[in-house]
Amino acid sequence: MRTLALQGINGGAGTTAVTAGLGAALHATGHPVLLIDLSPTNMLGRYFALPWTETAGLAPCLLAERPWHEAAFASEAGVNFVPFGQADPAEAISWLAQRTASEPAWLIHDLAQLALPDDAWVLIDLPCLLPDHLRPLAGQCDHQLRVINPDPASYLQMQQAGALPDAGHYLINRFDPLRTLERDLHDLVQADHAGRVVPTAIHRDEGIREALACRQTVVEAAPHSQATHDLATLAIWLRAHVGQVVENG
Amino acid sequence: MADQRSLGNRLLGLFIVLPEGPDALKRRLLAYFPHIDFQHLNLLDLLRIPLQLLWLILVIPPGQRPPPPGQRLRAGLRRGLGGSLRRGWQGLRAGLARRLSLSGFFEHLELDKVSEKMLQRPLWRHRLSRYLTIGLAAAVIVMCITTPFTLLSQALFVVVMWIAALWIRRIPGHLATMVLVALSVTASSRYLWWRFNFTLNWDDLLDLTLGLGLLAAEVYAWLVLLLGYIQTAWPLQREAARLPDNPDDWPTVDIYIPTYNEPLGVVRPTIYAAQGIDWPRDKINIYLLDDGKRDAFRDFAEEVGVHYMTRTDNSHAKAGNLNHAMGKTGGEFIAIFDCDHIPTRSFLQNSVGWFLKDSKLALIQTPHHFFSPDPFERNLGNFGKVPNENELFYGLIQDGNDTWDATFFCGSCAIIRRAPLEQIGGIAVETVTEDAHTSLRLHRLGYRSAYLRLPQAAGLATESLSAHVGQRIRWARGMAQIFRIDNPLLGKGLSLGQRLCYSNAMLHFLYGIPRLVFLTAPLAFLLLHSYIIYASAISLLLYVMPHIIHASITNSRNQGKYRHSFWAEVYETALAWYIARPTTVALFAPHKGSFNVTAKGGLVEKEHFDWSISKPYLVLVMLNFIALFAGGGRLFAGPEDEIQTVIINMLWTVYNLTMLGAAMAVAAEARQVRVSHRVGINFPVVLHLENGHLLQGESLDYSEGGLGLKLPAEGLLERGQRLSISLKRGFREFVFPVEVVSTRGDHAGVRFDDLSPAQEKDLVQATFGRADAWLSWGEDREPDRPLRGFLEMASTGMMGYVRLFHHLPPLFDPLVRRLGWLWDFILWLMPRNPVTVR
Repeated sequence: MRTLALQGINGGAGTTAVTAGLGAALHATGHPVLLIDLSPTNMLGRYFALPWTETAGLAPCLLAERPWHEAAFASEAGVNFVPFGQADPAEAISWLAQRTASEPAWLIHDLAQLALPDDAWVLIDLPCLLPDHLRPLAGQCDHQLRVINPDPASYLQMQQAGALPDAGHYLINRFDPLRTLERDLHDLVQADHAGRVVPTAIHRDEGIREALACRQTVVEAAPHSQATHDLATLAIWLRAHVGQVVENG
Repeated sequence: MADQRSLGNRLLGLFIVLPEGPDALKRRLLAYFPHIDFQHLNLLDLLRIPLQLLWLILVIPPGQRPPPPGQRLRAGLRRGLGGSLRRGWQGLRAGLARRLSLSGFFEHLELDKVSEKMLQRPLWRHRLSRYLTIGLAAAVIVMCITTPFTLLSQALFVVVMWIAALWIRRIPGHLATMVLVALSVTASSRYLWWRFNFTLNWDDLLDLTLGLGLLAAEVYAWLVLLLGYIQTAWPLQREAARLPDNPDDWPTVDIYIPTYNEPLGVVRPTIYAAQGIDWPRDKINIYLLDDGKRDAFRDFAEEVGVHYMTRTDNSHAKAGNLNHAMGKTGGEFIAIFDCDHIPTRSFLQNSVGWFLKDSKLALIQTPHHFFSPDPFERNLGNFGKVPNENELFYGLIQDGNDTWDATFFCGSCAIIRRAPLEQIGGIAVETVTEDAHTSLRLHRLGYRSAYLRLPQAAGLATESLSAHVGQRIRWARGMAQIFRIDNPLLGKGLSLGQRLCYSNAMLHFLYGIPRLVFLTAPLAFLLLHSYIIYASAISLLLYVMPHIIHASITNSRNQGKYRHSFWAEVYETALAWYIARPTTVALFAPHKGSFNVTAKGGLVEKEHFDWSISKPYLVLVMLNFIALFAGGGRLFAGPEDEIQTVIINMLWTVYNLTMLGAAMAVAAEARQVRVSHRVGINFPVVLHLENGHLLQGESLDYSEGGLGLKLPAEGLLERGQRLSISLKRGFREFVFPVEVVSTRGDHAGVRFDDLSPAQEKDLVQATFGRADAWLSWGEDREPDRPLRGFLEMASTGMMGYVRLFHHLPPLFDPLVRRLGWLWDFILWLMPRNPVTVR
C-alpha cells in the first residue's frame, strides 16, 4: 500500500479533480485504488456519480464513532472512495484536529487495519486551509503533492506556504501554454524549485470541467484528451518515484 | 474442414467426380483457374490451362496447398511466383539446417564465450608469444596462398574454406571476425597470386596489355579490400565522456557557421538551433561567417543576436573563411557547422568531455546525418530502407579509424581545439578537401583525434544528381591532391595505422578507372576475342569465386548494418566515370582545378532523365549489349572448347549490365516538389482546440512549413480548422498557431501560420534541436544478407532499364509500345495462384 496526500496551495487549485482523475488513471493501470476525501466541501464523490442526496461519509461516521470504511463506495469503473459526507464542517474539523493531536498516524493505522493489497494506492484529498494541528496527517503519508496553478496568486502563496516536506513535490495544474504569463510562471516555478516539481504539468483542458458536468472524471469522459494523458503520465511518474522512495525507506 | 486428399486427387476430381453437384465444378474451376473465362475460351487458353495445371502441380509447395474453394485463405499466402519460390527455398534451407543441426551444435559449444576467453589469456600479454603467433599464422597464410594445387585439390581447398566461413560466420565476437578476415585475405591473395603466375598470356601483345590492365585493377581492389579490413575490423565505438559537474570548469567555445551562397531559409534553422545548444551563455559565441556579404544575413544576425563576420576577399573559400574568423575570435574550442547542419542541444555537452580528459586531443568529429534523401535515395525510392553512401563512412569507417587514432576531420559537425589548430597554421588551404588535410597535419604533430558516433546534427543532402556528383568529384580530387602533395605514407609523425587509414581514405577515391575496367573487361573476350585471363573457365571459377564469396561474407558481417551487400558496387558504378578523370588529373597535376560549392536547398521541378549524366553509361550499356549478342553468336558458331569461357564472360556482362542499370536508375531524377523536406521525427504534440479542449497527438513528420500528425481517434479535426499546438522541449512547452490542411483517418496535416522569428526559433529548437532527434535513425531497418543485397541491387538494375524506356525520345515510341505489349502478353500467359470462391 502506498499513501499519497494531495493538497492545494490555495483554494480552487483543482486538487479534487486531480485526486479523482489520478485515482482513475492509477486504476486504469491495474492498481487497486482508495480515495479519501478529507475536504468539508465533500466534492470528491461527485466525480464518481455520487448523488447529492447521499449523506454518508467519513465525517458522519467518525462523529458517530463508527469505522469510517463503512462509508466507502465503489464507482462503476471500480474506483473505491470515501466521501467526506454531510456534517457540520467546524465540528468535523475540530474532531479531526483533536484526533490527530492525540495520535498523528491514526488514519494510517486505520488503513493498515484494512489490509489493502501491496500494490494499492490510497490518495487523500486534503483541504487547502489545513489547520496546523492537522499537518501531521499529511506528514504520515508516503508522499505529498502540493497542487499549484501557474498564476500569480498561487505563486505568491507558494512563497508564504513554507518549505515542501522531503517526501513531496509541487504539481502544476491547469497549465495553459497559450498564455504567456502562465508559460513564464511555469518556467519560473521549475527553475525556483528544480527537481521538486513533477515534470509533467496537468494542462488546462475543457474536458476536465465537462467531465464534472457529466459527473465523471476526465479519464472516463474524455479518454483522448490531453488531461487524461497528463494524468496517466503522472500515474507512471508516481509509480516510479514513490515506489523507489518507499523501497529505500 | 481441411481437404485431406492430395492436390493431384483434387485436380482429378475437377474433371471426373462431381459428388457435390454442378455448382461445385464451377466453383473449383473459378478457384483454380482464376484468370480463365470458361464461358468464352479462346485459342491461347490451350496454352494457359496446361501452364496453370503445371503450376498447380509442380510449383505450389506441399503444406501450402490451396484450401478447397469456400474456405478462407490465410492472409499473405500465395502472392505469385516470387513468394512460392521463396517459400520453397526457405523450407529447403530450414530442412537442411535441421538435418545438419549446425546451430544446435554451436549453441552447445558457446564458441563466442570460448573465443572471447581465449583473447583474454595472459599469454597474449607477452610480446614474444604475440610475435611468435603472428609469425606462425603469417607463415601458414603465405603457404596457403602460394602452394600450387591441382584443380581437384584447389576445389577441395575452396570447399573446406567455404564451409569453415559459413560456420564461423555464426559465432559472434571479434575473434570470429578476425578469422573470417584471415580466410578472406587468404582467398583473395591466393587468387591474385594465381593470376600473376598462371593467367597472363605473354605471347600475345593484345592479351598481355589488356590482361595487365585488368590485373592492375584487381590489385587495386585487393589493396583496398585489405586496407578496408585493417580499418574497420575492430571499430572503437567510443562513448560520450562526462563533463565536470560545475559548469564554471567548462571551456569557452566559438561556433562557426560559414556560408557563401546558400539562401537565408537554409541558414536560419541552423542559427536558431545553435542558439539552443546547452552551454553556459557566457562561454559560447556564435559566428555567422558570410562570404556572400549579404545585408539580409547581417540584419538577421543582428536581430537574433549572433555575431556576423565578413572579410574583404574570398581567398581559399571555406578554409579561408574559417581561418579569417579564427584570427578574430578567442574561444578555447571551435565548433564548425556547415550552414545547413542543424545541431541538437546536446552537441557540446556530449562531445567536449573528451577534450578535458585528454589534453593531446585536438579534434572530435561526429557523424553528418542527412534527413532528406540524397539523389540516389530519392531516385531509387529506398530512403530509410537501404543504407546510403554516407552511412558506411560515418557508421563504420570513421569509428574504425578511431581505433587507429586516425579519425579525420570532415568539415562540419566537429570541434577543434584552437591551440593545435593555430600551431599548424589554421585550416589547410592547399587542397579542395581542406578538412582531411587539416587533421592529417594535426596527426603529424602528434595530436589525437576522436570520433563520437552519436548523430547530433542533421542537414540536407545534396539536391540534384549533378550537384551530388559534383560534390563527390570534389572529394575525390581533394583526396588525390593530398595523396600527391602530403602523402600519408611518407613524412614524419604518423603511426603505421594512421598511414594505412589515411592511405585507404585516399586510395578509395581512385576507384574510377578500376571500376570502368571491370565494367568493360568481358568485352575484351566477347568482342575482341582476347584472352585477358589466360586460363580455363573451371580454374578461373575455382580461384575467383572464393575471392568474391569470402570478401562478401566478411564485409557483410563487418559492414552489414551500414551498407548492404553489392551496394558499394552500385554507388561506385554510378560515379566511376565522373571521378576517373579528375582524380587522375589531380594525381599528376595536384594544383590544377577549381573549387565548387555544393548547392543545397533547391528543387528538382520536373521528373526527368538526366541524359547528360547518364551518357557515358548509355555507351557502356550499348557496348555490353553488343557483347552479349556477340557472345550468343560465339555460343552457336564458335569453337566448342570456348563455350564455358563464353558463358562466364556473358554472365559477367549480365552482372555489369545490372550494375549499369542501377546507375541509370539513379539518373532518372524523381520530382521533388517540397521546398522544405518532410523529416520523419516522432514526438508528442498537444493540440489546443478553440473550444478549450486539448488532445494528445504525435508528430509523424516535420517540415519547415508544417507537421504531419497522428491523432488518438478519427474525425477529431476538420480541414481549414485553426488551432494551436504545443511541443515540449525539456520542461518547457512552446505554442504554435496552425491550420489543418489535410485529414485522412486518424492522420492530419497542419501548416504553421506565419511564425515570428522568436516562434521559428522555438520551433527549430523543439524539433530538430531535440537531443534525441536522430538517435533512433535506421534502427528498424532490416539487417543485410548478401543474397538480399544482390536481389535489391538486381531489381534496382531492372528499374534502370524500365526508366530508360520510359524516358526514351518519341522516336522510339513504336518500339516501347511493342515491348510493353509483349511484356503484358507474357504476364497474361503466366499462371496465377488459386483464389477463394464463395
